[in-house]
Amino acid sequence: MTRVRLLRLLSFASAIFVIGSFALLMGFIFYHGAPMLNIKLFFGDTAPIDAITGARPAWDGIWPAFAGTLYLIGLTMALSLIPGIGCGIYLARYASGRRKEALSLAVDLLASVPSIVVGLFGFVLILLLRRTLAPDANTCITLAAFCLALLVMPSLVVVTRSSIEGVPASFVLTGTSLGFTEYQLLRHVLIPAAGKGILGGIMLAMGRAAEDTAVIMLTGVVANSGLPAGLGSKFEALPFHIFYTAAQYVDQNELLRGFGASMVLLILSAGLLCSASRLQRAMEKRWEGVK
Amino acid sequence: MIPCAQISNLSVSFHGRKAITHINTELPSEGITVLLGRSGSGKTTFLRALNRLNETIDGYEGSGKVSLLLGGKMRNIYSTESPDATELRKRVGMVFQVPNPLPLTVRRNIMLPLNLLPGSEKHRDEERMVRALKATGLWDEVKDRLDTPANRLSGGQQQRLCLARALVLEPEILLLDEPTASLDKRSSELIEDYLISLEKDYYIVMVSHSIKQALKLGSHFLFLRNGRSVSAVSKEDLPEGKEAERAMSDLL
Repeated sequence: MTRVRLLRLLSFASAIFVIGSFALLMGFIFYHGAPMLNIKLFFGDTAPIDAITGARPAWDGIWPAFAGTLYLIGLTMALSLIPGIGCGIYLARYASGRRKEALSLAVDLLASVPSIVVGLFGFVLILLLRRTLAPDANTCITLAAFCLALLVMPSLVVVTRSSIEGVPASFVLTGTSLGFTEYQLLRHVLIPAAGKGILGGIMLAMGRAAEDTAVIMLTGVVANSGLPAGLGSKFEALPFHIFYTAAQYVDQNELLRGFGASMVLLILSAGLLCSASRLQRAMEKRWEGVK
Repeated sequence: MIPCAQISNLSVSFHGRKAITHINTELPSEGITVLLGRSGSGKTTFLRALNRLNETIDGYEGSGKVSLLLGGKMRNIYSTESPDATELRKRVGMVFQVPNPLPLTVRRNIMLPLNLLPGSEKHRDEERMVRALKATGLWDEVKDRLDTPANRLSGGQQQRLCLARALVLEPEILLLDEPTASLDKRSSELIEDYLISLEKDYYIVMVSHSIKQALKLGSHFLFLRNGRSVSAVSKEDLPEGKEAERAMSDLL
């Protein structure tokens, strides 16, 4: 009896701890960051329309870092979604025996590589390219996105695989007995039924791409480059901007702008989360046929 | 009489464990054939050999020949003279022991398999859906809630939905694996009545857990024990009335 009560107390205390930490963190960032949220934070003294179209650089604003982070997330997803989800499907439906074990091990190992090592790998990759195929190669947004893709792919693989394997076996049997081909089973039963889980993995991956600093620091991010000019150019990013401000600020105002940037990063992540889960719910409704 | 299925030397094992061994039998094309046997006797495996569902299960190994009457011709379904497995399963429909609607609305449950057929047309598909729901007596009960989730229907309704979903593909053979095992008495009787009405349009092979039900529906009985077929009897061979039940349980 006492043991049951102790367990309940402990789990309750743990829940309070989690909620408390969350509230404290949010409160801290809001307290410092919220007053800084305005047009000026984004664009400095440049006219917003000029800054957005790239007609004039927004030196004092975080707009280039904001845009850089959006580009980076987009490019990372473009490079990692198909191989990540594809490999998850392969592991869940097709692989068997030793090949499955070897592949799972490789994915687990890749997941355990620290991000700074992935960044270093990207850096060395560029050195190698410069000495061999492409003497002009340099660190850039594509390289950063490629390395980030390596970083987030394992979680995509694992989540896709476990979500598909978690679909009740009776769904598979039902689809098969109705004469569905393997493709139809995947497309119309398994992937939609596993959609929520797969989306969770995508969110995790996007969040990781939005926040990671170690990888991009070695692969192409800079403090002041303006909007990324192309796939082969340097870029700015919010997490690096925050990191740089925290380390190099000269006055109180600059520090506060750093908090503003943190707040924007937080809102960006939350916004991505919301829109993705709305999209998922809409897709699920369409699959289920609920009107 | 032409049989609707000829089975020769059929053996199936999973992970090296025999589920059914050397079954030789013929199933008549008139009346419902009922498979009987204790649990673990191989009834379900035998049934699933008729739509090649066993081979989708891990560790499957099988041998022997199964010929079904498809399109008026006997075809060995494990050879090239038969359509491939996915096509075959559309022509040999199946209903399982526990109702298994997908987590979709009533309408989508029926329409999904139809939409995936080549040359599907919305208008014609709708008509087929209504016909299938009428054939299982479900139309009047669900016509106002076609767009609600199927798992909100009662167990008996869900099972009739699954029957309708099998019928909508217009199969030639229907396989039923203890379709009333998880239902209450009233729902079971309802399903039994609809099965009798379907008997003339489809070759029906069903597994049953109850001798009473078998006698009510079946006209041909196949008894399995430990994966072997031990006897096959027709209704005419059985004594009348209560005696029939006793004779059947002796064979079990």
